[in-house]
Amino acid sequence: MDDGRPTPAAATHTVEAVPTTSKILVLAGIALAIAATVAAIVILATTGVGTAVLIVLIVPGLSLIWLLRPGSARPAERVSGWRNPTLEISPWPVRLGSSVTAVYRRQPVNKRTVEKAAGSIQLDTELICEEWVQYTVGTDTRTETDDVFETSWSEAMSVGEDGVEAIIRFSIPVDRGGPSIHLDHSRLRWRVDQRLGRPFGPLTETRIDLDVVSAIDRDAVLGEGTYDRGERR
Amino acid sequence: MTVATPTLEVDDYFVELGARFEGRVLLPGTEGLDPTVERIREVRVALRYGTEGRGDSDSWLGPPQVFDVNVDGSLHGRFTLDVPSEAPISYDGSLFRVRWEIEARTDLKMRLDKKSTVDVVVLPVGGHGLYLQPHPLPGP
Repeated sequence: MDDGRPTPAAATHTVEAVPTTSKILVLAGIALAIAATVAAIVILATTGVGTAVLIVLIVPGLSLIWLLRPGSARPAERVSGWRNPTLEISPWPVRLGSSVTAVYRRQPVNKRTVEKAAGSIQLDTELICEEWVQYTVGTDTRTETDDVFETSWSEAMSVGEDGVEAIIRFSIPVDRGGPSIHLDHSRLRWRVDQRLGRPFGPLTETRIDLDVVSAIDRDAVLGEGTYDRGERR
Repeated sequence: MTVATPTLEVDDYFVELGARFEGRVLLPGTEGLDPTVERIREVRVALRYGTEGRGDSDSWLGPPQVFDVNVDGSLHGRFTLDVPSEAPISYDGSLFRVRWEIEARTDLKMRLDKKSTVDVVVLPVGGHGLYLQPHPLPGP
């Protein structure tokens, strides 16, 4: 009979990270605007106003066609040069106090991406627990957030033709944050933000929402495991 | 406080998600004539949680356990209230907290109900014995 307790935390769970699309689109938009403006200035200096205006329209137009052309890669993947990464998380479900191991895997969109990486690349990871509340003031609905736990670290990975793979380890603290809570106006949520280092940077930033169940890893918290108060192992 | 105000006694104030709170609900009754006693319809005991803090409030009230009172208005009832396994645990955060309580309410004819509440703590699964307060555990 189901007594409501989560099953023993031993399984592995693979989740696909999603790009932080808004940031990617803003950056791509800024890049397009700069490219179009530079092209327009150059043309304006050499020919005439009509051609410059045409260029301002053509550069973003061609870029959009490139982004949205048929193919297996999604627009955000084309911009970043990388397919969305996966994280293989164990143990699953993630409990309070648990020491978690996650395998990060990411494939390049094409060979040029691998060549650009020049053999080695850095993976930046941030683990965040955030409180989120929503409240009304008059007829306005407002939200407020507070990061109640945050830790970040970097590691080097070698880049092969199949892309990159890295093993990351972290602990879920029991003295900061808590299990995931999803109420209408009050939430507690965990996420893992990751991005590749130079020469790729912000365009490769992705996020996964991590569900931390309302269960505690007693062995880890009582000292028989590897719990280290949320610091990275 | 009148003879109609219920008293709650809880066996264990710290209970894990998916488990249950148990205890007693009491009304003293009266030997003499007291018009309040005649007005008692029933006593309801229920578990509830609510949020407090910066955000708008979220709350939940569990199904009540209903008790009839004796002729003299007394009651010695034993209650058992299940904590849903999908509910939030007791949490004391920075922007909001989740507070659990057991509520006993005497339903009176043509009068405002008499109510008493007791704060309780709902723990994560496996947390029994580790906590003296709502989550999170104290730091080092």
